[in-house]
Amino acid sequence: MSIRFRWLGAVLAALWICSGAQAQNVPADYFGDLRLATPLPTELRTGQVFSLRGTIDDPAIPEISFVFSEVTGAGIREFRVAAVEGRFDQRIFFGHKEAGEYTLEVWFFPIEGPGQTSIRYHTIKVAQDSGPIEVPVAYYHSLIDKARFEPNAMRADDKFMPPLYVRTGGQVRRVTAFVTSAGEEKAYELRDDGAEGDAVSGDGVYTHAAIPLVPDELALGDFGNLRSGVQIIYADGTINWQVAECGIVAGARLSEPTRLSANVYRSDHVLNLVDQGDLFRASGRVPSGVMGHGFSNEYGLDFAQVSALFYEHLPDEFDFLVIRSAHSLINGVQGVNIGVKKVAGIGLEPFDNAEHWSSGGRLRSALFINFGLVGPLVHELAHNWSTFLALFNSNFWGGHWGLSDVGGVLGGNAEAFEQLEEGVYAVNTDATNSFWGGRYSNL
Amino acid sequence: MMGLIPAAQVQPHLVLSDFELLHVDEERDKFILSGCLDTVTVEQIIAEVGPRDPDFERSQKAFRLGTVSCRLPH
Repeated sequence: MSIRFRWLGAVLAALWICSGAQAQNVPADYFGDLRLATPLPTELRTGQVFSLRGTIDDPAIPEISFVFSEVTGAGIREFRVAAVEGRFDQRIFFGHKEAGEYTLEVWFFPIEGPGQTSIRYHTIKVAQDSGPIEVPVAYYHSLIDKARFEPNAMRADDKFMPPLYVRTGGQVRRVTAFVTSAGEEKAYELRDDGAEGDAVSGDGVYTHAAIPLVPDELALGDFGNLRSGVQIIYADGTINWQVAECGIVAGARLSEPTRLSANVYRSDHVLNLVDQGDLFRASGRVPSGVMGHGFSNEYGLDFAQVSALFYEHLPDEFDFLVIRSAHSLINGVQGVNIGVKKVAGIGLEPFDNAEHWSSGGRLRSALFINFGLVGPLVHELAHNWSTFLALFNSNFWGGHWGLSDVGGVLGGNAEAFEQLEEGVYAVNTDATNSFWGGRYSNL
Repeated sequence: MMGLIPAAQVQPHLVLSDFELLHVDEERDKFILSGCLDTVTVEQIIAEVGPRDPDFERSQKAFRLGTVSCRLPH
């Protein structure tokens, strides 16, 4: 090749690189009834927070979901968002272990009936990046309960319940909460007009600031739970029901919290951490128990920082660390147990990672339990010892007893194996998923 | 597994393995499955994973929970 043609080749190569480097976008109207106001680039980076905003043609659809599926089939990332009168706004991001190539489809969830999916977009590339991920508060709103009291606990001598918030979507005619007080059920209409405790007018979040309540004796101590049914009536007359729960603390006053630092408070029994945006994040570290001494970020909560803060202020005299929050973890995980150390003879090699959790050696596991769940504490605690037994196909059943009659809080609740013919059996359909029954197995 | 009772108090259990769901009997609310139904004894478990250590006599039986509450700022 002559020098002149080499020069021309270099220019063409540079032009090709430049054109290749230009960002491409997913067409705004690619997903049928949905319009993206902010074009979604086909090339993203891990840790990059991107706002998916837009409208859907059918305002009666209250919820949509953006489903990114890895081309390799290794996994999916789903971002579900409420649509208020046809408008939606959701932040998305990929953690640093989620680099790869994805397809994208949109699921539309009508008030009634099955969801419907769009055609798939091929391909969105997510390049590896590094550094902290600052996740906006709005990201969590798609994960937490639709109807909730906040805070979700009150004292028995309080005259009013805490504020009730109901996150809706679609065109809403009326939202009503039903609460039984002093043996009588009463209805309370919630509002979305920016007044009387409602923060923002027209944002789809309906509020009642202070429902009066006289708890009856049965409500006290019964897991402290009072349930309120919430009825959402849409413009077309269809109805959706949600449930909000509130704990009732009997009698004694709570101890006054002591402020230890800007974001840390403690009372007699609880350490209260105020998240400044660095506790819940995709890059949150889990000092891994089962998998060695590495760190995993699969749950999106910085367990390492939480445990370090805990032991900075409290002594090493606890066997379990129970972390509670109104948030779900990434992908909606609401309860998880992470082993810190294990004894021998339960089907695992013994290990001890306590030092990686800032514990002097006593800590056995850390549990995350979402406030929306009350029953699974014992279930998650039981995972410290069970089940890791190949004889019960534990890997297949994710640490549960599966199709067996072991029974208890980890499943295995086959009432009987009725033999119909050689090698064919009838089993009750809840045999593998009855986890919260309060039953305990000798095994 | 927790070390709360001695191994001798654990009864044998039934386990269905290598199973396949054939159909659902909706009238009786039953799964109809093919598979291999085995009885698993505590002796088989000990033979597979070894005896619990510490054993029932020495295992911890009372536990303490520490609680952390995480919330967003107002």
